Amino acid sequence: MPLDPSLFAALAGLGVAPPAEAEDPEEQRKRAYDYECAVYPRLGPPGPELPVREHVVPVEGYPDAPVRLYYPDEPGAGTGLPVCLFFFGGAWRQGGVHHPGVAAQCALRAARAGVVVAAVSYALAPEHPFPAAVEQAYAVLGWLVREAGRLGVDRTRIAVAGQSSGGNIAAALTLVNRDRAGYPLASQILEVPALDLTSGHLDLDAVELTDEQRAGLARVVAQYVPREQDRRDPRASPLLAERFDGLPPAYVFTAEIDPLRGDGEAYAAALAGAGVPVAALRLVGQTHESGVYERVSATARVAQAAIADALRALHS
Amino acid sequence: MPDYVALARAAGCEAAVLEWLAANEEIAAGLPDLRAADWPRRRRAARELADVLATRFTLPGPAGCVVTEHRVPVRSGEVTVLRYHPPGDDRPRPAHLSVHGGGFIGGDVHEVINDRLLRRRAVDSGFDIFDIDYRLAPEHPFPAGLEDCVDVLGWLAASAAELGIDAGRLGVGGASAGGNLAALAAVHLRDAGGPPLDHQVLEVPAASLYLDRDGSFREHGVLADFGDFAEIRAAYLGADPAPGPAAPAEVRDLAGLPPALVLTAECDPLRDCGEAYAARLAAAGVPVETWRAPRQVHGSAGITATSPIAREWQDRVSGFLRARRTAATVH
Repeated sequence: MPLDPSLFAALAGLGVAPPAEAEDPEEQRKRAYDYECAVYPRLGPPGPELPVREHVVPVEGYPDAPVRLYYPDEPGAGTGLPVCLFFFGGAWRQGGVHHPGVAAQCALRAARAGVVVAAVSYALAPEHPFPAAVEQAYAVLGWLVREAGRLGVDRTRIAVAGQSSGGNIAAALTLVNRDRAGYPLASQILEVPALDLTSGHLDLDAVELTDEQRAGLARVVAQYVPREQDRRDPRASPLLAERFDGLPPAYVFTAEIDPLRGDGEAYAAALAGAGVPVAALRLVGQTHESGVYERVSATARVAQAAIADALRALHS
Repeated sequence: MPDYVALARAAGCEAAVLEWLAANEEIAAGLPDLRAADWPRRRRAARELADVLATRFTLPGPAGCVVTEHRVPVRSGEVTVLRYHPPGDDRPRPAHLSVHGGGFIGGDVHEVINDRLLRRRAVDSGFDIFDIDYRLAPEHPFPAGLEDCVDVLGWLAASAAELGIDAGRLGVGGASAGGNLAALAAVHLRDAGGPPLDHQVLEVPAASLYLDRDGSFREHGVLADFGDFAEIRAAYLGADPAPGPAAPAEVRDLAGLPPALVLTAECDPLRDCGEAYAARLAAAGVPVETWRAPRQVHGSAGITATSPIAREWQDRVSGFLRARRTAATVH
């Protein structure tokens, strides 16, 4: 189906065009932030005011990772709530918990599911290329497990989640964890994830890409993983892992009008083939970004309800 | 299956030990993979058992200890090392390499019990403690794990400035199989002729792989949860055992080894081999402190939430390390 008509109308009425790409990384981040500030309040719901706690996790060999924990209620001693480790999207080079959409979604999910959402401010490319973000993610997971008691979270009820590039990091984290510490992970929630940085699984039937868009995708990947041979590393391209057994049950969301639907759906198939429980949903009529635009899209509301439900399942 | 709890009660074990053994049995009954032929599956089940037990029976470690994970190059590739860095600005820190137990075939640094005990130990002693994820048998038989320990000690010494630790105040320690590896690593470093280690802490060490003649083995052999000792030995040594001593008891010359703390448990089949090694160290002129913990079994030194004797055990190790901070370095 073509673009969701209510979404189309809302986007057409914004009167703000997505910014042009900037050469300078800081300028690029500023443009992305300004754009989200301009459009998110009109497309997505605000998040509730929740108690938050800021932490900084030391990471060996890479920058320390700031983590913001959103609590559904004021944390008390011995609460032991389930926790969702969350990685925001932004092409590995922009985004963060200061973005209104990211902050709102973290708070919404914490409140809707009664879980703690731990949002990781991983280091961005090009200043901090692969595998900095994945190693930070792994260090934060270890920290979350080790400090669980003090953080008021339950070390046996941990989900990992991420959007787009954040979905890439979340999936890579489950692989690294399986092969190293082996902490029990209850589930993984991947929203429009990028899972093959060699472009081998892009679904070009999803949308007509212009040459400029293709070049843009290639630049994003080259900034995050400059060395071409590294793009075959499963920490960069989880779809190229040798094995998929022993990974946590997965919820994979793809958008119909997004070439990355090929990545997400191939990953769902690979996990299922290895015996991992998988729920895979393609959001028809939606784009790469629109899965969180609950104010203007019924499909987005259904998708976010499904994610909240997946997080609530951590309680059982 | 023998009734371990009844046997331990008959042996006079502390009530907290009986409670822990009973919980061990109850949880193990729900984990059929503990007997799986596939080693990774067996280890996952053993880890689950250990983590559930530690969550219940081991006091959480104190806050403020920063834990980081390092990938350390060794001759075989890379091993993981967790660093426990207690609060304080003093540099360089004395350092201690901790080698976990698990019968050479199991155990890993990410277990809950290691986190809880080593946090406490780091904070109480003021040492930076490094916990090594050495390679396990039977996939990696002797001397793979030992080589990893020796290599990581070399890495610690070589990277001392970068890590902010004192290469002249570097020691090693371990429990059970880890005690075996720690003691042998100290022997290897002595024989390599480099700077001597500062200390060795051997807790219920597997100082020998042949226990049949030991009174403690005949008396308490059934009480250890490590299963069939001959099977472990076969898994560790492999079909074609590598040359060189695979246990401290097989090392002939003990002169010049670092000052030692040797802790044994009264109702542990490994008690006698540990105490015999301590006596041989002392006879060779090595300063040795020993303690036989009353009414304890193999592994019960970790039940700090319920046992005052386990807490005393942990305090003795931290106290020994604290004393090493100011001890003369020449030995």
